[in-house]
Amino acid sequence: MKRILNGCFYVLKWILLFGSFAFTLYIVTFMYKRLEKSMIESIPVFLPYLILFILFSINLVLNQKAVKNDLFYNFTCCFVFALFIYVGYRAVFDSYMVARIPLGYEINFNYYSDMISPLQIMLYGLSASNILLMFTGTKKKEKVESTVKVAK
Amino acid sequence: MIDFLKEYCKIISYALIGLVFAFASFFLLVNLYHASDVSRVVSVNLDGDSAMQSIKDSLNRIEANLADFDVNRYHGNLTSFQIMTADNKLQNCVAALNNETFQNLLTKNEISIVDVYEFREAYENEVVGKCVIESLSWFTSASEENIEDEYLQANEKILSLYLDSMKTDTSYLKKDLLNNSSYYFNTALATSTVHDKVRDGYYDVLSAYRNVTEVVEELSNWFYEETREAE
Repeated sequence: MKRILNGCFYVLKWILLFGSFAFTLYIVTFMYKRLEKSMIESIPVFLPYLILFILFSINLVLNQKAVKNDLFYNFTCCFVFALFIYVGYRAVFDSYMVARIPLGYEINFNYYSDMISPLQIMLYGLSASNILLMFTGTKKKEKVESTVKVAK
Repeated sequence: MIDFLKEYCKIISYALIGLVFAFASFFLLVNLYHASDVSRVVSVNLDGDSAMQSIKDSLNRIEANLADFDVNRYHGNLTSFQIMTADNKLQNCVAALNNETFQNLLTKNEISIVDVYEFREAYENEVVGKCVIESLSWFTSASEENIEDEYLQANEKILSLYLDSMKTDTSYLKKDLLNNSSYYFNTALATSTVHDKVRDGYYDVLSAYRNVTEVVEELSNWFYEETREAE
């Protein structure tokens, strides 16, 4: 059961990562267009996504089970990305927040810019915990090797 | 030593994931609460409302005062062009006061914050823009326009002051309504402010409408007396 759940969250984590990135890119593009700012200045917004993407790729390529099989980590990742999508959804579709009317583009930039910093903190938190889990993962491998040696 | 460090790292990593999880849960709950908060509707009953009744009565009287005006029968102190301009300005005000948003709102029993925002915008764009600034301000320039009328010349300053206050009557409300999109740490005070602004804002705009209607009615009374007496 745990393995199935973990597998689901692991796949979902990748899908939601791309989904939340797409939503953020959509909103930030219009936000910077409205402010007549260069998209290069938006790099700090996307940096945590890039770091997480690199870390997930390393986990995938090196088959790091300490991260891949961690149900709590995978679930939290899904939760955070889903929250990103929900916040993006509200910024675009919640017509009750009247600031979207004068701001134009049918997007509530006020609300999204309020949310963007806490959401980035969460992404950096996930990145840091991923690195730490990667570090702890090497121990398990050594343990397995040593048990094999003892058995021999 | 390394094992100890690795164990320590594991504890820190789980503590971090826990913090992120708690932070995300907090934001999700805050957002859900905020979403339900701003989408709440307030029921209004305009049937027995004194402000609405006053607006309706005034509009009826204005329309009655302006009806049957014929410039060819007018032989008063004002020139034909001036009296026709006065008629035209008052007719513009009637059209502005009967704007589409106002008419739509009359049919509603429940209003949301979006309705109040649109109602206020309609007041600013239609009533203030087209009636107060474009039309009523003409009546305050009796001396400049060489309008030989005692009533307009005597009330020029007071009318001017009154119209100035109407221009900014609901300006504060716009800032308050836009605030509903910016706060995210809900407090009881912020919540009650959003709720109160829907109801109070609605009646504030309605009251501003009534003020404009009363001025237009007053001027239409003058127009009626001026045109009927000079026939």
